[in-house]
Amino acid sequence: MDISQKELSKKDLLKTTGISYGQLYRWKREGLIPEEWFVKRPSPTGQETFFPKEQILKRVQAIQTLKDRYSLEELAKLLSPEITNRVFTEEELECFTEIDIRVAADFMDVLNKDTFTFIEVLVMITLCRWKEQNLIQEQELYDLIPNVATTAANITEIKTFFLLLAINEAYYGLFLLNPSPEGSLLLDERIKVVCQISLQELCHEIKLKYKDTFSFTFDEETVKNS
Amino acid sequence: MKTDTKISGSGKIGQGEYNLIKISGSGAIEGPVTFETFKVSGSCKVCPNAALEGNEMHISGSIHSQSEIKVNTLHVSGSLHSENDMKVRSLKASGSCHLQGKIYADEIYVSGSLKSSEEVNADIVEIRGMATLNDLFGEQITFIPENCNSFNFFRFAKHRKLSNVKNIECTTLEAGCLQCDTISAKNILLTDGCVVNHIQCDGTLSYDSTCQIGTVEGNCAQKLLS
Repeated sequence: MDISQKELSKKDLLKTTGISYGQLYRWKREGLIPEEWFVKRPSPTGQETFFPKEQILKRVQAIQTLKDRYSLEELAKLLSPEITNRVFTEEELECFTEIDIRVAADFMDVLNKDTFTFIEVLVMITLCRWKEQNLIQEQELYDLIPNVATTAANITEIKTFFLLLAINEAYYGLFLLNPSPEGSLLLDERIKVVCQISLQELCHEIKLKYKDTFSFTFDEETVKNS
Repeated sequence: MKTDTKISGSGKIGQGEYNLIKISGSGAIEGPVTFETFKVSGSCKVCPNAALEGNEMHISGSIHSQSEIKVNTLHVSGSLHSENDMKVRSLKASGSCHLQGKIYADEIYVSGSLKSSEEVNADIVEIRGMATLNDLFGEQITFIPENCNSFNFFRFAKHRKLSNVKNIECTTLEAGCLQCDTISAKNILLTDGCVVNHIQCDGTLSYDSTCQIGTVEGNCAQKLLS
């Protein structure tokens, strides 16, 4: 996809939204606009700053709508951190209808623990869905879990793609951390990408579904509608 | 219960929650501390992993910090050297400030010199003296030249000492004796020999005949001051 469709220059952002430089940088200071959204690129005049278009426009609109209702500090807490910091106990895992009890048990055995990060929960949900969709057979799934679970335990970045790869009838998991919109993955033709999922998108779906159960914090639309 | 801790002469302060920290002489902060009031009369060294968080800091002398500083008000009369990020509501400094991390503030008033290699981001910035900065962002930014004109005896020529900033983005800028690569602002007033390579302005751009301006972009009303 063309960069101009996915990104918006700072100049165009201010023009489109009517906000001032002062507001933009105040919101950055308050954590309302994540620092990683400010992407600098070379330009004829030196450097120009670009933002992920859809995300920044949604965020600015949310701030403009909500800033009379909440203080900037409250808004910063309400509007999504990129990942929830809580951990989930064995009992709480049972609340996720998507998670097969044996998958959860295998994660506990492999990682030798009974509390899990939200990313680990998302990975469990993904594996269970792939099994349900017959993308991977039951035994192949349980062979995959030890290695995937170990890797998932080290992931802290929600902007991750989780891929299921097939190589010579064996299955492997691949985690792409912080993939760039301009990037692409080229694999040896012996490797087949069976399926893939964005953990960030799954995160949003699951948080919405279980918002009452776990009191998750949310992104712009849900806060505006609350 | 929070305690007061005082150093007269030389000493060290470890991690803890304090009401008052007072250093007369030479002190070192060796662990993370929180405080209501922090007073230094002399010199203070803040070690790595010894973040400071509190309400008021008053430095009469010098402070060299290798850790984050997060305070409501910071008054410096002397020298402030920070190797890490700072978040303050109000910074008032007379003397020299050397910042190697970001500084986020509501207001920054510096009389003397300000040097920063990272982002300076505040609603109000007023610099009375000289500054060497990289990125300067805010709502209202003012450079008040002081003693920027000197006479070079051998060349029988006036010599201007200019503040040097790579990039300024703000709503309103008033500056004298400033050299800048790029200014992006709504309203700009330049005097006293400012030299600017590129201006992006969508309001009013006023400057006097001593200023040298490269390219101007944007829908602005330009005015040459007499």
